[in-house]
Amino acid sequence: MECKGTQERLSAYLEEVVSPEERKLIEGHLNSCQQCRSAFADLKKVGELLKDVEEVEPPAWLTQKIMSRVRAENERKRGVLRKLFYPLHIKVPIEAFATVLIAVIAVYVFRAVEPEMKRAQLPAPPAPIVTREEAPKASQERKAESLALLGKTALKDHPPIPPARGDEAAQKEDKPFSPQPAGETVTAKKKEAPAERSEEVTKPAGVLKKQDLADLRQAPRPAAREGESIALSDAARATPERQKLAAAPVAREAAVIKPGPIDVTVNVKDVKVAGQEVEKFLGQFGARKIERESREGREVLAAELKAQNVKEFLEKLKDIGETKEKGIPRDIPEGDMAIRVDIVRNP
Amino acid sequence: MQVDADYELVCLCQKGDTDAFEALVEKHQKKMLNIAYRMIGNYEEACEVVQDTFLSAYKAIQKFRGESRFSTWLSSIVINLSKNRIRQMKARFHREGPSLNDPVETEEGRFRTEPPAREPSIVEHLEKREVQAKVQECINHLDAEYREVLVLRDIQGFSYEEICDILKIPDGTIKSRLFRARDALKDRLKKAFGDL
Repeated sequence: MECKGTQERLSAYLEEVVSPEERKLIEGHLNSCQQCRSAFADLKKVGELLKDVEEVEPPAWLTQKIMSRVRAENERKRGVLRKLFYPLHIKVPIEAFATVLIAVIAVYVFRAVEPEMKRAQLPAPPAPIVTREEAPKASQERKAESLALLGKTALKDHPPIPPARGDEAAQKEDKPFSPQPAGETVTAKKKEAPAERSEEVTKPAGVLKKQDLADLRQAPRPAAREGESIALSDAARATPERQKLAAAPVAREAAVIKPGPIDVTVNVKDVKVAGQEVEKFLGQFGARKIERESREGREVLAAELKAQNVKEFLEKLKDIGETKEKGIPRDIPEGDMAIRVDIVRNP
Repeated sequence: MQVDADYELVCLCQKGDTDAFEALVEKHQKKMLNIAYRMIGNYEEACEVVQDTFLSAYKAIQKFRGESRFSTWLSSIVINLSKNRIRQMKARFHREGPSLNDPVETEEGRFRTEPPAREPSIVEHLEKREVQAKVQECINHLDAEYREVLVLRDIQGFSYEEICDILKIPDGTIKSRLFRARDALKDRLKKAFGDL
């Protein structure tokens, strides 16, 4: 075995981790080689020096220092947890307040948007608004009525308005002021009803001026009255929202307020005389709130009449001239009924 | 595998018992300090490394599964932190330049604090403390991978199996690295003392 190979294995030989054969070879070489024997002695000395290295003692404060850092770490860890959970007693009211605030804002926003939503839900301009004008009592309506009449003198000559006239808006407005065909059904009227409470009055309303329309809006009561029969109907199925809006108050009132109104058109030769006669009859039958309005070639009387007297009164009217009635309920209810008599010159 | 005497204390630590951890600190701090000191060669730095070692161990105590002994696990931490500290110190030395206490660089590119002794067998004439200081100085000039095996095997007396666990390197690598480390140290010591 050569010196280089021996010296590389001296450390293993020292550790006694060499095979017996290798050990014999190394020992053989060490016996014959002074240089390798010296190297081996140095290696042993290095081992001894390392073994003799004294241990150092830790400073007295080391444990304290370590433990203070450990406890600080513990606090820090606990601090993080505390940040997450500790202020629970503060967070709960804050969260509760935030929830309430969000709820209030949500309601406020919903309220603000609601009208827009309802408007969006409404269908295209539905039934004509005329039923409002049909209310015979309110003076404001009468005003609107007369204005409408002024603008539609042609109607006098053609009482039943043909639907094919073209101007739909005008047609709608015409309805209350023109004699209706006798065969016009109640349902048709019912369908018109829900519209009356809506704001549709602002739509182009033919001859009605804006001021008149505003006046009409100020008199919702008569409109509600006339809608009482409507309220119980299934009329405005297509517009449930509107039906709900209109029907709810009307239905409530329907139980206590008279039904109606009844529209009667009387064709006479002398409008003035006939008007006086009708007024007299109304007085005879105990009508209340009689209102009379004269127009050129036309007289309009509105009153509230006891329901049981209605039939008799209508009979009396037939003596004056040719009558056309509409809005007469099948079963005459108790209480007062609104009635409007439209006296027009015989065509 | 041997039964770990620290197992119960470790379990208590894992449940948040700091007193148990203090007991472990007291038990192991001397050994850890000596490993760190022999690795780094600086007492103050070694004390800091030991503090960091125990703090790291405390933070990671939940991850300790008892696959090795607690002392082995702790030793691996102190070795790693010591090697990190050596790197930092070297970087600081290069950045800030040598201080009067630092070893000087020779023509061969090696460090030494003073010229080699001319007298033979100077070891006998030196005080034991001085000899140990010189030995430590020589260790300090070894590569970190030589240092760690020398410290663990020849100074601390860990078995090869334990060193395998601590350094996570194969047994054969440890042996060959250890033999080279001894040779390197022998050369260093011979230069330092003239003759051993």
